[in-house]
Amino acid sequence: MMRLMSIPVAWSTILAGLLLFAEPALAGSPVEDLSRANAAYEAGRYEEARESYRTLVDAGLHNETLYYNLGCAAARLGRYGEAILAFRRALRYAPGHEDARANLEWVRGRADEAGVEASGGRQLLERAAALMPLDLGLAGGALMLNVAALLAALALLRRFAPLRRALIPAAAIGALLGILLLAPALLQLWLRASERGAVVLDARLEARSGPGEAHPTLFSAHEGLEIRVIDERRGWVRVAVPSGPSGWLPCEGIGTVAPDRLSCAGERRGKGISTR
Amino acid sequence: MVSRARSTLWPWLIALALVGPALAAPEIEVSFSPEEPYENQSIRVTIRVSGDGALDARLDGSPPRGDGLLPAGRPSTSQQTYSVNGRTQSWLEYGITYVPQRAGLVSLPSFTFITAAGKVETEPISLEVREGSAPGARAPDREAPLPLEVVVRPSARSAYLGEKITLEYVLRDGGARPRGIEPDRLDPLPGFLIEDDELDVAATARETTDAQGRPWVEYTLFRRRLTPTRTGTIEIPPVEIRTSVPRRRRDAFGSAFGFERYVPVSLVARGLAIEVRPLPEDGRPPDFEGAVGSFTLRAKIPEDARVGEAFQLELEVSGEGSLDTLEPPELVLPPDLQAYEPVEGPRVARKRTWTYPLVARAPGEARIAAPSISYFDPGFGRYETASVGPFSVNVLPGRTRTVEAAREGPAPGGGARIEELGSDLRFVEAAPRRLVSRESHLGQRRVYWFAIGFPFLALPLFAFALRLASIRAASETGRVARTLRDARRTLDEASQTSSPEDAARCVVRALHTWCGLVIGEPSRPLERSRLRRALEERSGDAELASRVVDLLDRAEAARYGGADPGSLVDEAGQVITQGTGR
Repeated sequence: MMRLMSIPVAWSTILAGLLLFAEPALAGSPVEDLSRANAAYEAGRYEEARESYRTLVDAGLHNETLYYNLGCAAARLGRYGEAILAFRRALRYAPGHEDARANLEWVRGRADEAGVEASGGRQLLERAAALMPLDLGLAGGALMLNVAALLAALALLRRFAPLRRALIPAAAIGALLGILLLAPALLQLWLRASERGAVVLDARLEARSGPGEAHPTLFSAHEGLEIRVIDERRGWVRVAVPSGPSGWLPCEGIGTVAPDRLSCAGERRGKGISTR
Repeated sequence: MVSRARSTLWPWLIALALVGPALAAPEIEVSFSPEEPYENQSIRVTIRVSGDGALDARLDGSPPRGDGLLPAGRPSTSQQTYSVNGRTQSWLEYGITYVPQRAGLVSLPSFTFITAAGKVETEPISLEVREGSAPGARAPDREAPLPLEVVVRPSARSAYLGEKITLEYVLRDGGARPRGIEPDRLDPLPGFLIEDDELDVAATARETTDAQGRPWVEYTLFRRRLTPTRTGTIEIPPVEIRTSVPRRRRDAFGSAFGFERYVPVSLVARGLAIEVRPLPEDGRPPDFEGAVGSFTLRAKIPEDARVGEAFQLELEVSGEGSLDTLEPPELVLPPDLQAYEPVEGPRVARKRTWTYPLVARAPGEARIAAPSISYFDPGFGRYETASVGPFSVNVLPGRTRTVEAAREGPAPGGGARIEELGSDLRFVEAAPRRLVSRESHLGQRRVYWFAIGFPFLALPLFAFALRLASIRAASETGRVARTLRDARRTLDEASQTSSPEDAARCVVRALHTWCGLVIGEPSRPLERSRLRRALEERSGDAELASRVVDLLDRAEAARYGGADPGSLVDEAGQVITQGTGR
């Protein structure tokens, strides 16, 4: 009997440890830095605010509030490419962020860019994924599946044979709840992994037919143009523009919606929004 | 050694003989016209450099200023190459116009030219400038003085630093009927920021009369607005204007039929000096940014605004002076009113406009302090401040319905209609209590996926283990039952046989079968004492162990005609039943 009871105890301990230490919440300092940057923004010192937001991003902090505020500061400074990228990143972490969506449209209007809207199916999936915060879904799903498995294991024991009629439905309900919690979280992870969007950050880039300066120029891409990454090779990225044509752009001139998506991402640091 | 030195020297001697004549110094001569100029008449100085290499000659530095003579306009050059008796010669002529600054003896220093042969210089020039009324410009044919002149009219001869001065170059025509002017653009002036007005010269024609009652037509050729950038005396050099005027032909046919030809005429506008004074230190406002002139400030702002909706404050600065140095005035706003970067409107003459987008955050009266600009008024010689306002804006609640308003009932007219007046970025978000990086999540940890997969792996294993244990338990029970069944079957054989020896053998075999089951090993090879101990240990019943061993001894003895086998069979059945509980 003691051996049997030690299983759920160990099980619960592992899960509790996972939930407690899974979210690496940063110390209070970034919050204060963000408040100071907001104060600079409110005082109209947009360049100072933008620098402060970027410092937090460069420190590895990817958060919808941070990117939303960075987008506002960049937009006020007329850096529409950087603003579009920041708002899209904010929407990546919080697809239901109405302010980010409204400001993205505002900046697109200013930059005279139509923007790239996801397909109807993908938009539906994004809304479904946004129903549950990622970590809550992952943790809750894992917990419920483990509880369900534990109940099922108890039901198998002869000692709990009298409770079997209650244990089996309880295990089934737990498993169903676990799947319901886990599904949006897994969907969100898949959507993040399949994100290929990028934005042109330089004022003007020449798209070439191959990865290198020696290849002929096909078209010009301007700041704020939203593109889709297809391939990457030796510091050049093959992209497709919404109107159809594709070409190779220098990696340091664009920023991807998914941070760290490009292997050459670090080269951009200091030039605009970090692509980390 | 001597012959070797000769062979080395010969090429040098030949080269010197060839190059020597080319290095001969060119000749230089200077002339000027007219030789007896009037006080306001321009003097054309012509310097001719002739000889080999003359075409490469260039003036060393800029044209020199003379004593009582100032250069006007740009120098001109011309050159010619000709051949005489097979020998090629060339000359270069350098011409420049000078304007006398006074009557009497004036002089020019030497002109230095750099040629391939070295520097050559002219002799210094001295000439007498005649006093008296200027006869006006003369055409080259010197038939009669022309009623044509160019005068320069400054708006002031002295100014403060940064104060604008207007300089007009006016062509006065008393009937000469000039055609075309050169140059069409004036040179920059060091010490001034210059704005040149684009003029339609013909449209500037203005009729006047002089003291003698003669009619003149004045044309404004150039209008320059000069802003001094340094203090002290700044000289504006003379300007040479070239034009052409009609002259009647001197031949008989031309005179008879009134044919005319145009001849070039050179006119000179005198140079002048502007005295630039520094701005006074006394009374300089702290917000003074260098604007000099006279300005007024106007503003336009709506009386009402709504919370969260942008409205505009438009400030307009107008007046005469250096508007370019003005910065948009800073607004002093209440805390509930937010201003964004002002947008400057298109610049028009003597006017600048800034539009400040404002957004109110709370309803009520919003008071904006009077915006102002400080400038130096050169007319009064003191610093002034132009201001407008203060303003009061009545801020109404926003069009979005509040929760309290919703509780009171439906809004009039349905409450869902809004009139969009503009759009702006939505405001930044306040910092949350915790700032968590969304790129790091549980799914990035392997242990998480182990925790997810663990129940799926462990539960079937647990079920399989339970099933295995059940099977093993069932297997042990079956083996015991089979053994007991064999023992009892052997005893049945013993009771049915007619031979006492066979019956005793069957009893011994059944007892050994049962003992093997109890002790877990074959019992037949064991000695009786060891068998007793083993039975005693496994069954925990010493009496039963002794009884079994005793029964075995008696059954062994019965095989050789000892005890009655029938009683042995019954007793063995009782022992097996007692030992196994079955």
